[in-house]
Amino acid sequence: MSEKFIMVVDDDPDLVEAVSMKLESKKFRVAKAYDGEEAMEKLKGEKPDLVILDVMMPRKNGWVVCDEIKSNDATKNIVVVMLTAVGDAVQSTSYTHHDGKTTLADDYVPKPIDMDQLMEIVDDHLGA
Amino acid sequence: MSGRFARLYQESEASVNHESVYLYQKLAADRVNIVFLSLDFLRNPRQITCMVAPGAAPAAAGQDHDQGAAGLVSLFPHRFDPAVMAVVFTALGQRQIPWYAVASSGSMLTVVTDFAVQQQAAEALAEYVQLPSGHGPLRVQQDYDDISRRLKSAPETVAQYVEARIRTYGIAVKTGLKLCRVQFYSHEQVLLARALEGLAGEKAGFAYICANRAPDGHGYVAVVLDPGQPPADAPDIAAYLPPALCSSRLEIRENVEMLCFHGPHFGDRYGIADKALNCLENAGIPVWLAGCVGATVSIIVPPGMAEPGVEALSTTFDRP
Repeated sequence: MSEKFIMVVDDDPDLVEAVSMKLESKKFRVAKAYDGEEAMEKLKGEKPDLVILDVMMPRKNGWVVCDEIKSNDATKNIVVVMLTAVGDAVQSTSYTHHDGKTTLADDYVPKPIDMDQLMEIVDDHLGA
Repeated sequence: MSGRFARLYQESEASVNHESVYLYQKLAADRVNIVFLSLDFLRNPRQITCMVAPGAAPAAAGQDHDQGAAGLVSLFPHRFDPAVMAVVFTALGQRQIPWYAVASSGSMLTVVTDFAVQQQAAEALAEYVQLPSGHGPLRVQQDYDDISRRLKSAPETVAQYVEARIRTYGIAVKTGLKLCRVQFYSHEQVLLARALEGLAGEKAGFAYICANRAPDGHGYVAVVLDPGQPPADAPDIAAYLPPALCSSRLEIRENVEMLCFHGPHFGDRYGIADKALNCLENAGIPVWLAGCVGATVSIIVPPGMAEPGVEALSTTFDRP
């Protein structure tokens, strides 16, 4: 199987580094971006199999990035997994699930992320 | 590079001012988010450097602490290499670019500088590091006010403020660390850079680095080495320092321990540092050094205090 390629997008460099190290240890190739605009810029030159995408980022948030990925024929087949950070009060509503799905993301993981859960989701989508 | 912030600085004598309110406590009481914190309580005077939104500073902390407009420049990933801190001393020291504090997180080394010279500082640092091929131009991020407005309008993070317990990615403990703390003056930065390069040459990795500078320019840099071996066998910074910096100006403590945790949007939320430090104080655990960089809190405590520290933090912070 060819090496799968994943882009991690989050404005928290510590999280990007931790997730990237975990993915690299599982032999994925990883690209990193630290806000939505940087991610879109990198997606012009690289085509990952999957994007792990934070929601709340400066310059361009994850919902907008996801919409742009999914509305472009060149990138619409990239799997998008969104990271959300909804707290207790809002978690009781369907905010995360509803918005995560209707924005055409393929999956979501709540923050603080469970790394094992994230890896399972990645494996499920990439058939790894 | 960050947007524009206000830099606040507080010095206090622990023995005299035990009842005084620390800066991070005042800011938490006024619900002011600290986007950067570096605290050195190892010796008197105790030093605290904080960065907050420009408009928040005078009301929350008092004009006497406000040192003016400042910005953050972050280098990442540092890969725990002391040579990254050597870059700060060399690049900024040689060009006499003012900087006031440094602290590390799990991947970042963040430097506080005057906002007016932030771009200059970033360009100076960039000369000593290899930027990735896809790196964009160095640019200032959005103003804090703009980010703050967006956070308030988005339930994504507003919800965080009503967490019954503050969620984290887990609380990590490191033991058997070697703390090397050196007092320095501006003209000695190159000497410190050489010492750190010496440690890097011996493949020494750090667990935490911080530096705080007083208004008169002198400062303390603390390098907490993670030797991965008995601390006594760790590389000796004194071997790389000139005698003037090795005498009474170098302090070494072995077997120190570190608590480190990280949570969603910690960098956007008020009161995180205050809650963490209060948990430890209430449990009688001394804090020697602490830093809040990005979404990571790092706390250095005396030997044997990390595990009790985890228990103390667990009263307020959730561990998955």
